[in-house]
Amino acid sequence: MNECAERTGSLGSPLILRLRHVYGGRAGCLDDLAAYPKGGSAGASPSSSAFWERTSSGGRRFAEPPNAGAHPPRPVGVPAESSVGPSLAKAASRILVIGWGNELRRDDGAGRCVAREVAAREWPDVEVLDVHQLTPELALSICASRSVIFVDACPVTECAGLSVQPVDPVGEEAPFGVSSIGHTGSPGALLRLTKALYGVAPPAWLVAIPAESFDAGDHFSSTTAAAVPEAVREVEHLVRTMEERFDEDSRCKAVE
Amino acid sequence: MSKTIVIDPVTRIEGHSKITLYLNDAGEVDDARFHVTQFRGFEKFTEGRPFYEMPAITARICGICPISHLLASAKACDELLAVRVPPAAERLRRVLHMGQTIQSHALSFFHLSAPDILLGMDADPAQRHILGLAKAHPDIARDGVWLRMLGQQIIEWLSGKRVHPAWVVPGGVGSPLTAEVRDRILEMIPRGLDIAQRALDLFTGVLDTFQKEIDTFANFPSLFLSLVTKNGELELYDGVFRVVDADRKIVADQVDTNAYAEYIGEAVEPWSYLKMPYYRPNGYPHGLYRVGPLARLNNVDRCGTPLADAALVEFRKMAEGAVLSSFHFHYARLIEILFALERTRELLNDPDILSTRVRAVAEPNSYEGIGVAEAPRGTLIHHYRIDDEGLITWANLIIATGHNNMAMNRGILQAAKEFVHGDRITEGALNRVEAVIRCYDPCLSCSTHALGQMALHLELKDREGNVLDERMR
Repeated sequence: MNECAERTGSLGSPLILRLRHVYGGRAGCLDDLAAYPKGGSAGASPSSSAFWERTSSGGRRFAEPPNAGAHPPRPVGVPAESSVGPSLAKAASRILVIGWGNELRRDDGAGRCVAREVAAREWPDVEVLDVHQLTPELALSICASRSVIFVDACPVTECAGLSVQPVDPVGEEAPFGVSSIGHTGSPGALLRLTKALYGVAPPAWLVAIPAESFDAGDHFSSTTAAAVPEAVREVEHLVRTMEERFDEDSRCKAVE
Repeated sequence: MSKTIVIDPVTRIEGHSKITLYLNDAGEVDDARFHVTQFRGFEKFTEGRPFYEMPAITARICGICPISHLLASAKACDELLAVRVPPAAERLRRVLHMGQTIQSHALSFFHLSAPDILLGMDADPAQRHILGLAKAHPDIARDGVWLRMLGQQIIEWLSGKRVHPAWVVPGGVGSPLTAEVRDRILEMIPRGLDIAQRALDLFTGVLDTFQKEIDTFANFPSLFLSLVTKNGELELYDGVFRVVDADRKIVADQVDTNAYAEYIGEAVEPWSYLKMPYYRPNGYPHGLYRVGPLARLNNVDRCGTPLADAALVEFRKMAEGAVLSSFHFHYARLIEILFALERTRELLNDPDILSTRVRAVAEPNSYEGIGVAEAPRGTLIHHYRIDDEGLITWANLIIATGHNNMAMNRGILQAAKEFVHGDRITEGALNRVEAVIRCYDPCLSCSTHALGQMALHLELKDREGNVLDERMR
């Protein structure tokens, strides 16, 4: 049996860290941010990101990531949904949120804080991973998901404000230096590993949270503190949009 | 004129380091130094913290082997409480540690070292990594991902988190095991054993092609130090110290871990933040010893589980005395994965594992506590002193990578003498010098208590300190 099916079939999908059951660390960390102004005061509005497109009615819709179009992805060696029963079908309809970083390095822990806040909302068909590093075995969780939302801190020198960007698997020509998958990895490298190992790389986005300080400490800078609630809202918006798309895809398939 | 080569940073290890190679007037490598260039200072900034915070704090030293720190720290705290940990709690701690060993060894072998071993030391560095491995040998790469996931999963199911769990506490563990989780883990063990056995067969099948590396990768006589059980079996969680020499003759045995300071001294050098532990009876620097998988297998009489013992018999055929080449850390690591899987099954099949008595509660009853465990990379020592309020007044941590510091320096020199010629660094030479270090799977973030990227910087210098060539990754 393929790893993806195993993770969600015979094992009953317990392999994902279900934070609603094991809610630990800085639980309810948004409460820690109460002293800071909430709302979208930090950085640029997501609507200004190249990822978001304005619609004619003034609303917004999200642009296709380059690796979109395979909903749900079907891993190598895994039979079509109709023949694998509900477990894999459920897994393939799952949206995976991965927040990562070092919580002892101030703003570096922002992605994990967002992950826990998302987990606390207990959205159906959304699984959340709150991890220290992006490590190779996450490929298993990624290959079993319909789409992935990575959440990480991003130095303000690179990210003036909160941004939402599509993530591609890194190309063959991409250099693999010190930041490549060893003990740690990048979202693009992880997607490429997933594709190399299991034949699929689901569409993925990165929610990048502006971060001012990576010094030792466990409290956020004011910029990051303000951006975290906004990042949670952006994750929610992405999830809802994906769910709507998935529903539409399902209806189309039913008509076909 | 003498010259120097510097490798900075060293890649596919945890932490940041630099290697300097010094050439003599004849252009031959004359000396080598492995510099660890980061500093963290956990021993200092934990002073004044309540002792019961130490497991959670010190687990943050590392994202790869936090469980080992957690356990060594909790054991030191057990001593501060002067309590006996309930048997079920000790078993659960051991299972957790087996998960840690499996995931860490899987990461080291499949993801960090297998690219060298299966794609070749001289392969294009742009492809010589886990993704290149996934392309060339997808089944092996998938095996590695699955095996690491198994280890991480054991940790998560037991403790609630894959990294930095707070489940291990002074006096025991935070919650008992359920039958459901026990059965889930047991279900996964057979596949893990298949993968480990397959990897072992694969590795031993290609050993002949690495004879030059085996001969020159830190292949020299030394002492070996590790924990063993009181009857000489492989022990990762508790036990007593044993030291053997290059002939596998026992130099010290049945040494109480609380007497570590009588046997281990700590020297410092101005060119590295990583301390230089040495075997005190032999003095510094003559007291060079090695720890970790190779040392453990050289030290034990037997592993104590069937598949690992069968593999140990084959391992022992490589030498009449101790296996001396550090290239065989990889071999030993694979045998230890087998052992960890077998031991996990044994522990989980004990009916008492489901006992709900998993924590002894007490106030501090002692001013000093020492906890020792075998981390995946070797012996890990936590030693604390507290005041009347239970606040830490002094802490000493001796980390596996630190124990191996002198051996890594000597190994780099040996490999550089073999593979570095002239005043330029070839890719093959660079990778082999790095690979010597990777044999030890060093965790520099742990050992210096620094947080840094994985990196290598190699410099070639003349005796006057002029940089002749340098390579960075």
